[in-house]
Formats: sequence, C-alpha cells, structure tokens
Amino acid sequence: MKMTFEARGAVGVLRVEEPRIDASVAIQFKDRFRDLAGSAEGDVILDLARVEFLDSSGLGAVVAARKLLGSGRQLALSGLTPTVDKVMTLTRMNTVFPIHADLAAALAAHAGSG
Amino acid sequence: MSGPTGRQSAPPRLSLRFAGEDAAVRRSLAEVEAGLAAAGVGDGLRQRAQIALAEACNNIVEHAYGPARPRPGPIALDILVEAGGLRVMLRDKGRAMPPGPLPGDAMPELSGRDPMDLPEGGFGWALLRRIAEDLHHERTGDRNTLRFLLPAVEKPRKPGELPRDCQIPSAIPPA
Repeated sequence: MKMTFEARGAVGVLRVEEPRIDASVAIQFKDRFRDLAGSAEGDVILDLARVEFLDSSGLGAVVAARKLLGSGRQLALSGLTPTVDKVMTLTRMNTVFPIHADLAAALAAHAGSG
Repeated sequence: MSGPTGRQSAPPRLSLRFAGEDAAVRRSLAEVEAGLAAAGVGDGLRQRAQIALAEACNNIVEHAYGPARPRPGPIALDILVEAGGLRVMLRDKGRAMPPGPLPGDAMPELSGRDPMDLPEGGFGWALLRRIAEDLHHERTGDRNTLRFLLPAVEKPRKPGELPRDCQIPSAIPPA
C-alpha cells in the first residue's frame, strides 16, 4: 500500500497514493499509518485526494488510525473525492473529523491554529 | 421509450462471477465501475453503487463465508441497468443469516463520543440500508439471494430515515 509521510512544520502530511481503501487493504493501511505517523509528533493531515473509494472497512481503519495518535494529537482529513465524501456524510464521520477541501486549506487551518 | 405494444432491446446487464474474498471483490467492483460507466450510468448512481455493492459483498465474505471456511465460495452478481436505476441480485452459497429483521437499522451513534472511543465497525449494513431500496433477502436451499434497487434519483430522506424495511423469511426448503 503506497503512502507517503512528510513533516510540514508542526504537522505531518500523510498522503494515500492508492485509489481504494477497502477491506482488502484496511489492515495494511493501519500498519503503514502506524509506521509513518506513529513515531512523529504533532497533528496529522490525512490527504485522501487520490482515493476514489472508501468502504466501511477502510473507514474503520481511518478511525483506528485516529486512535493510534492518542488524545493529544488530531487527525484531519483533506481532499475528499465524491464517493469518500458520501461515506463520511452517511456515517456522520464528517461531524467527528476536521475535514478540509484540499491539502492547502488543511495546512492553512493548522498554521492558523498552531 | 417503447409503448405498451412496442418492443425494446434488452436493457444492459452486467453479470460477474468471482470468489468470495476481499481481493476478488476489489477487482470485481472496479469492473462494475467500468461497466456501468460504459453503459452510460451517471456519476452519482455509480458512486452509490460502489458503496452499496462493496458493503453487500463484504457481508458475504465476512459472514456468509467467513474465516472458518478453507476456501472462499462463489459470489454471483447480476446488475440490470433500468431507467429507474440499477436492479441488483447477489447470490452466494454461504451460511444462512439469522432470521429476523435485516441488520443496520441504525447508524452507530457518534455524537458526544470521545475520538478515542469511536466505533470502528457496524457501518456496513447501515450504509447499504441507506442507499438501497426494496432490499430483500431470501434463503433457498443452500444459497442466499439478496436483491435491491439502487434508484437513479436519490430520494431525500430525513436523517436516520430508512427505505422500506423487510424481514428475512425463514428458510425455504429446496424443491
């Protein structure tokens, strides 16, 4: 599962370079997230601009990823494509995660609050 | 549109047969996406189809077949492209569902939850129930058949409101 991590000031940007986060890659996603973001510090922006599809298993993996950061760090999402946005809205996860239109907006929001 | 006496060519149909395991479901859903796009199905309906079909197939992989089986059983997916939407039929040869109402009546409650205490599951059936209409499950002999309609036009619903409900009938003995 291709994911990249980059420190941008006080926040980490984790980009998913895969078209689908589904049941077949949910565990890999969680493991990669832990490897990339677990040891870093600060909030994390999960950029999903390349992700066309997320199922309930993928959603569960994103929630598990959020918990890996602990209560002292935040997980924000950016770049939701239409199907991913639909899943977040129907499950009301959009009320739980900070969601930004794109990575630039997410970085600006974190610069403002940090 | 054909009149009452007119004849119409058969509506486009997609028929896929694949193994009841995650990687095969992933490949098949990508095939469905390409097939529906080729049939001229619009973006919104194709997006809802991906969500509903993924959850329905995941349920089969996880519950009808599940980890206890030595190898995954088959899934048959048939989609009829109609003016009103997509008519879906999914068949498997896995375990029966427990009798009673279909699961997924309510989406897991999130409001007021600490982020560290959020549910990681319980969304699958609830998503399917919110997107599909005329959802109907049937056990005949050793197979499950799940039928539903994915309407071309999404009907506005109040938050939490579900489409028509249905019960899982008790098993029908094989003919």
